[in-house]
Amino acid sequence: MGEVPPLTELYQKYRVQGFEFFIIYAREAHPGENFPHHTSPEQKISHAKKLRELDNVEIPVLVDDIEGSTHKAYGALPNMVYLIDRDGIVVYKSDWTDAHELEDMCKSLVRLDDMKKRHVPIIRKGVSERLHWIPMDPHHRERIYRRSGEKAIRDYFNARGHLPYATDAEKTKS
Amino acid sequence: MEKADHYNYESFGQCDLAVPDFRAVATIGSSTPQFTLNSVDGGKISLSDFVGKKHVLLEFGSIT
Repeated sequence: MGEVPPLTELYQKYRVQGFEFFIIYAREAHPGENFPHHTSPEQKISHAKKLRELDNVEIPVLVDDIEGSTHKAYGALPNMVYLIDRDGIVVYKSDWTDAHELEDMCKSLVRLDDMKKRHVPIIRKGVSERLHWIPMDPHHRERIYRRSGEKAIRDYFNARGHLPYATDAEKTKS
Repeated sequence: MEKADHYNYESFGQCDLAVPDFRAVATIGSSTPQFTLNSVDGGKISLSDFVGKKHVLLEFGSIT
């Protein structure tokens, strides 16, 4: 999961301005002893409930099917985010939940609603692309991996050659 | 088709990290892939419920 508090703030701010927010619970990105990979729909639903408890999630949580049909249809990344306008069109997609970018985009849609209300003519829909830089918070990451269990940390170490919460300096030490 | 047990990998190392599809699916300006999913609060939610009514934000996530 991305960080929950900034997204909750956005939810509280924009739900009253014509937005619905949903968290779609997908496969476990880093399965461990405490939260192993999904083997049944029932277990997946119970994990989704646990997610809500653990992170005090206020945003409604939906549970993808066991095959991950919806997750796959949207690109199967672990922390991706989409914004869809009232016409059902994708207006923003990101491979990471960045609350600042999201807020900019929510504001754009509020402006669009206002333009429509005032019958402001629109020439065309324009497109922008951007890169963003995903910050690494060792404490947040350590907390997430530890709650999954030692196995998750071991698996990451075996795959990448360093701890998931290693700083850049620690990554190159060995 | 991919099997469910491949999707639900047991260990992080089995995950195919090269996911070339993200930018190719559900692209900007296109209609969104539809879904009807169970809510943990009970009941089902369909994306189509909100067409013409609400902007919708979707965040994908897991516990770990």
